[in-house]
Amino acid sequence: MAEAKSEYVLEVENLTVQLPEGLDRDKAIQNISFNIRPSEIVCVVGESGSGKSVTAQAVMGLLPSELKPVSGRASLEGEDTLAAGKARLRELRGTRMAMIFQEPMTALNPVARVGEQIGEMLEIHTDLPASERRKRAVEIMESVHLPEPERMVDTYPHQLSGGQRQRIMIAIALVLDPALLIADEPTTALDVTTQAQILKLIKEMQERRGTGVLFITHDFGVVAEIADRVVVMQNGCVVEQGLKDGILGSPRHSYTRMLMASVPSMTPPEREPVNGSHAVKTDLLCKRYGRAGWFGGGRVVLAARNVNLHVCKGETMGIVGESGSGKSTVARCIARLIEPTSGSIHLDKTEIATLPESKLREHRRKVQIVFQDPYRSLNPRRTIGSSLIEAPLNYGANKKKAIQDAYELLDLVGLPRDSMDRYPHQFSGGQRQRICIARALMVEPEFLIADEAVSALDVSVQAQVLKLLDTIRVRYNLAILFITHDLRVAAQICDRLVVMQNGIVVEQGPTREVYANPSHDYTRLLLAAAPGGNVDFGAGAASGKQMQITGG
Amino acid sequence: MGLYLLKRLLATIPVMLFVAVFIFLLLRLTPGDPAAMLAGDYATDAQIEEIRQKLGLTEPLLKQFIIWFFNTIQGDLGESFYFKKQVTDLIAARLEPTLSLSIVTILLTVSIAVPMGVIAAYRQGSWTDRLLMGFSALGFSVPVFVIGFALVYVFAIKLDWLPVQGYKRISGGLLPWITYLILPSLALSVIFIAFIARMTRTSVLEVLGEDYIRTARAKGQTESKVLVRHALRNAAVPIVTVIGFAFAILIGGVVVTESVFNIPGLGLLTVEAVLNRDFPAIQAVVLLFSLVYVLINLVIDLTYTLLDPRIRY
Repeated sequence: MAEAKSEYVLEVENLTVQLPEGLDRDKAIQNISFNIRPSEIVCVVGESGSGKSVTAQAVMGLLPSELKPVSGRASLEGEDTLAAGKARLRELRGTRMAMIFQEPMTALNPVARVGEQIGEMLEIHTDLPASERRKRAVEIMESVHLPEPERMVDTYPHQLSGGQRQRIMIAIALVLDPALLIADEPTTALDVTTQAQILKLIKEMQERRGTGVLFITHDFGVVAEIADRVVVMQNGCVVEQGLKDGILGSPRHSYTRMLMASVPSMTPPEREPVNGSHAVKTDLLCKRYGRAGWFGGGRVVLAARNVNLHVCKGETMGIVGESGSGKSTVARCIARLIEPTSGSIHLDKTEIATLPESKLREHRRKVQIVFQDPYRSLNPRRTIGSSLIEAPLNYGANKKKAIQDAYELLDLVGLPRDSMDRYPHQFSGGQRQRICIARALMVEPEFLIADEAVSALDVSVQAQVLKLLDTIRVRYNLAILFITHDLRVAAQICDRLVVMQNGIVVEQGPTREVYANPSHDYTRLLLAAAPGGNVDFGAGAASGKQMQITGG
Repeated sequence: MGLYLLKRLLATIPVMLFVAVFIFLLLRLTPGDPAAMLAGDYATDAQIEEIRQKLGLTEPLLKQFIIWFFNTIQGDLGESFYFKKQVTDLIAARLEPTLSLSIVTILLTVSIAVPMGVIAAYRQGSWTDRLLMGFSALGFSVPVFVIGFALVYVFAIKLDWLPVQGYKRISGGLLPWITYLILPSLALSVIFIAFIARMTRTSVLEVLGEDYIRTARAKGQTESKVLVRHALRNAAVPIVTVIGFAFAILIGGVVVTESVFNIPGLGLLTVEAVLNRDFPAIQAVVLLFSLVYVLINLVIDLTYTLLDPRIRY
């Protein structure tokens, strides 16, 4: 136990963590120093690979065994956690420091009741009997504003929504009132409206309990929303730290400025309306999942209800909405990966909604998809070249010609020609997404679906990929259906926008109009929920001027 | 759930029907005449024909089948040609040794294989892991009868700790019962230990990379509880599947072990029945084995719902 209580909850001093040999750099983090006071939220921002998660894991003593802290201290209320033994660390975890994670879908044990999982914390660290543990679980669930905690305490994680699960995680973390809460991208996997609620909850809990919070994020919107102070990390080093208004208002380091300039603005730019012919048009498109059971026991979900939309040639049309709104369902129907229940889909002049399986082959060529996760959408055992030429060869193209096309597309997406003989793992996320785009273009599609295609990418990379998509749209006069939950991205890339909620199109129109004068309540809700919505990073940082912060 | 159970039970009917037809035809189409076997080496053709008539083997195939089929669904499996007893009685007498052997074997297997697999997964890449997996590879590659004879040689003949062969009924006391079962169960379990330990290791390894394992560690949970409560419970579905299959294979596969250890169970009955072309006995044993197989599969599927709340029928 530390005798002298420090004024800080957490003091990280010159922390360095060694990486195993043979990687692109030898330190995961180098000479990191920062501190957190009680009741203070410190945001650590940076792109993937900046070392922000390693920092958090080092403090918790949860580093994978290949990563070794080699110097420095991490004092939790005066006690160095790096020097603590395994048993002591276990005592500290949960009682004095606790952690919540990015993926609420996977961070909870799927086969244990949520009440048990909260109670486990009490079981490990206290002598409370089972009945008392349950009572405390219900209490903490109530304080994180979960509905009907008495009933929910006996549910399993899969019965709860993403936001509810994250509330359970927060309840687990806070049930023993730790001095330090480490939140590792806790809202990244959530919908905007849920994100806004969880951010509010973290803030509320932290204020009420005086917890110091180490909040890791890549999202400047979230920083603007929640931070007291900001630490910016790049390649394992702290490049800049200070009060939020200082960092956001006048960033000194070029990396910080670049990061902020890459955050897409919430204000859509002026765009020429596209007046091409319709590449795709849906009429009263419906998709129903599930079917009624024998005795009415079946569950039926109407994932798309009477969806009418069209995309013109040379136009990027966005679909925005939360998870479960039906945006991906519509895209999958158009690609005929799934069969629509009713309604019609015209691709150019062909009706494809009812096209039989045998005639789908030609259709598949015309519609191509770029998926969200570039790490999983390329076959890891095939070279980039063989992935690229696979589709054209399937459609009977000449191999020489296909290889020539592949080289040209690699030029177009900005990758070196020798990428052809390399494997996916040798590329970064952004590069892989470029490869996926090139792969989609290989068969000269008429219609491209980008399903959350930039959501998994860092902001700086995101900006480049968005630019690339815009370039190919103009060059091939391509119709693009751009699905996203990110309103900042949608603002920048889409000519027109469709807003979906529960399978219904609630609003559509030119992007600028939708943002300026949203006509539906749900659209207004979405726009208001976008974190840091009142801060225009892109515009402010790019011009190098003082950032304009309006309102709160 | 109730509806599901009903559907599954109804689905066993066509399976059993198919097995019944198949085994009935198979026996009549393979060479070997039960009447000739019963009559012995010095019987005249007339004597054999007489026996054949008595057994009802001179009737047309379809008629034979229909008689057998309707008797069977009424619970009458007929009289054994060779043992001259009701087949139902025969099976009832042989059921206990086989069940004892199978259950003791599966308990032994699970209590050794699962901890082995969990430890190997936790210490992945270490010497412990390599040793355990090496043993498992060995266990996999040695046939049951070799292991059986080796065990008998060492523990029964050389050390004289355990009986060489035979079976004592459980009604005669727990101790003699188990002393007679130890060697055969051990011999039989080796291959299943090898298999289930590997399976456990793989499933646990996969689960150990999951986010909720990290969550459990972040709560300050001890490693042993992380392994059992969080990892093993989530890895249980594939493990239980192979345990169930192992049990089914065991019951069907006791033939060899029962022969080696001379245990008067269903396995030995099968061997004797086949050697003597005892049609009613063979048909009954095969039907029984397939029924057990189908039911074990059903039990496995129902166990899933207990292990994983996300699985509902």
